[in-house]
Amino acid sequence: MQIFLRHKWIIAAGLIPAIAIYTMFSIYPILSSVYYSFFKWDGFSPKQWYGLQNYANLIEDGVFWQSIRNNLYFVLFSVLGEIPLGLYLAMMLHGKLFRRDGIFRTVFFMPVVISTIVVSLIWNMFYNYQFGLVNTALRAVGLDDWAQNWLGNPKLAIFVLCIVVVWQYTGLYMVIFLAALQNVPSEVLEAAELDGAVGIKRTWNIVVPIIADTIFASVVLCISGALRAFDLIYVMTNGGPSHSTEVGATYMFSQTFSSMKYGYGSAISTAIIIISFGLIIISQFILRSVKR
Amino acid sequence: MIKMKRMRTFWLYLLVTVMIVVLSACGQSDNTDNASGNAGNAGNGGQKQVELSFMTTWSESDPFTGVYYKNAMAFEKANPDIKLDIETIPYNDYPVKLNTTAAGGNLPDLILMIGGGSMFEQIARSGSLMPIDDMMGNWKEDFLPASKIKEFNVDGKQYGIPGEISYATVIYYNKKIMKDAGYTEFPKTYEAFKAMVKDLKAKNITPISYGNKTGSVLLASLLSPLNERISGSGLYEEIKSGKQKFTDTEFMTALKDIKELSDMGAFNVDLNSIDNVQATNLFLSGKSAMYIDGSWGAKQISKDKAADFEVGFALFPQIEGGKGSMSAMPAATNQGVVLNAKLDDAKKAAAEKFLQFMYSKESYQNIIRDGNMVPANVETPADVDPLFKEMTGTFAGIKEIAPVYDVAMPATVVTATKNGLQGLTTPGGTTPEAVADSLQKELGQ
Repeated sequence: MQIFLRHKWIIAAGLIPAIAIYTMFSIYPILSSVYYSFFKWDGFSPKQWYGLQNYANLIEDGVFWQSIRNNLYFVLFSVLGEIPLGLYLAMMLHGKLFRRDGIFRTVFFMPVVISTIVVSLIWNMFYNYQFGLVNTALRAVGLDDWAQNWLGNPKLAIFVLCIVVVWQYTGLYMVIFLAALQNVPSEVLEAAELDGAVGIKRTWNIVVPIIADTIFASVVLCISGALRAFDLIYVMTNGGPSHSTEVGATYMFSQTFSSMKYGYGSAISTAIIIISFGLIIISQFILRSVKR
Repeated sequence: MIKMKRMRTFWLYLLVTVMIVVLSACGQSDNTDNASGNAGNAGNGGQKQVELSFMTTWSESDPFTGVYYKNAMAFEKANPDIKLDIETIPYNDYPVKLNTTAAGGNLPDLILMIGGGSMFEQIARSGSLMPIDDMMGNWKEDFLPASKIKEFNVDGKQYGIPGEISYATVIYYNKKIMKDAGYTEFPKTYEAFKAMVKDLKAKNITPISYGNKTGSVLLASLLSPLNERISGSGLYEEIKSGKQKFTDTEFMTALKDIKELSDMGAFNVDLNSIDNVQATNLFLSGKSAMYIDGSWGAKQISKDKAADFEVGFALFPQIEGGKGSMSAMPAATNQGVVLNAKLDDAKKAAAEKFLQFMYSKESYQNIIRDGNMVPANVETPADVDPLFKEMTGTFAGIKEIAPVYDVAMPATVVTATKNGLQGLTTPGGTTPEAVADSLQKELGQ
């Protein structure tokens, strides 16, 4: 090992392939996207220098802000839904009752493995107005008035989608937490029990602090995942009806590739990067102050 | 000793790293070599075979384009010296793929244009496509009238030939439901049509099912015919040239009519969350009295309907005081294959053979047999589905073709219109005024 430490350039040389690939496929496209955002360009005719006009339009674009708001709903539902639920399920499966039954682990983890397209189609059927499971169930118990066009109601649609996201990804965090829980030393838990800490008290005061780092990492994963949301919405509602379920990524996609506004689309993606960075930094800040 | 071993490990790592880089690079250049080798006319083994790359939506199992795929396969069989390298892209993703490959200058040898319209014109004007005027001698005017192929003509140059003509609006109706509700004949005027819609609604029948999830159906099959009936076929040209605005009375009237229909409950509640396949199923299961879609919708109806399900066909009714008429109908010509401008002579000759075959009398008859209307004057084969024959009969009186808006308008305006129409037909959605404003803004940019 010494030789590696003495010659730092060797380490650097080893990193070069990875950095080169990362630069080529991540850094360069991001930078070129920032570059394109200063142009008015339909992807076809010559680019026209547009200065900051794309960004000025963006700030006044109500649909963009609506899509960011929908992204924030996704973040909120993910962080406040997936993580507590995942933790709860992990606790349950880690408990004496289920520890031996691998089947529950598999069942809860299943949605993570299923392709998003399949998830979208399944839930589209659940929410179908005419014959969907949700409406059929409501009608069966006489709640006909509650039966809704779930994905077509602009006020509800985004929350209806949030439920799907929570369903889909809770299993992932469950597995992460399960792994973390298995590393909690049993002596600590026994000692806590002797001191009279049981149930929620034990969870909150003993278990959560021990696996705090895992939780924090999961929150960051959750936020970045929610901000990247695209495929589920693209298949389920395509951002509709009338932009009500648009998120940043779908709006960027439709502006760039359906409306052929490459410059404007690039400005949207740049704005999404900035907003995502902001959110991650804010969440880190909050988590760090909670930790103290 | 130990030091030497470390050194050895280090060199081993270095060697592996270098090899990975070199090998992957080799692999890449290998690939490109192969591709360019195939792209030339010398195939492997000395046999002279021309390979034409072809980007399309056609696929064997697709009910809409299967017939074209089969025609193309028949071409390959008849011409063993020409090989088609087909890349199939799903219909909904095709415009994006087409635009990005065209913008990147990576168009294949043959390219399918689903329709004419703004995107095709833009690509043609950029010089990426090869005009086929020197090949047009293969088609005589009395076989293929110029008026029917003009959507594939840009600035006086012909780039392709359409395989079919699609009417944007057909009202398919359930004869039994209509009869039970007391209607033996489909209303001829818009007022009578509205009265019927109201009456059906009062009888607790969903009057019309639409599958507008992608937003394109209301645009092609409601806004386009309404505009034609209200303003005649020239409205969009006038708006484009600035003589009229989206916010002026004529276009506004159409938007208000759509809102009115939506408010009176003319449509299925979930029109904006289901696609046209699902909407067709609603209609075929007797859950709605009418289904409105383009003439392409007839295929699924014919395929999926129960044996005793009686379907009727109607044209969009006349609006009193409007400038349009029942003898005009928004329609688009589709499925034209165009050529890359960079084809060498061997490839061009092969491509000409391909076009000749794909747009021949036999191919057109196959297309008709599959339930489409075609731009060419060919005899209808005897073994056509009677349902299609009936539909074709409904359109026999059409003399004039009006533009379909999603073909004629630029992409930005199309997207805005799709969203606007979804908003208009969503409870608590947008107002006609707001929609018109946003369209005018998009057009102005």
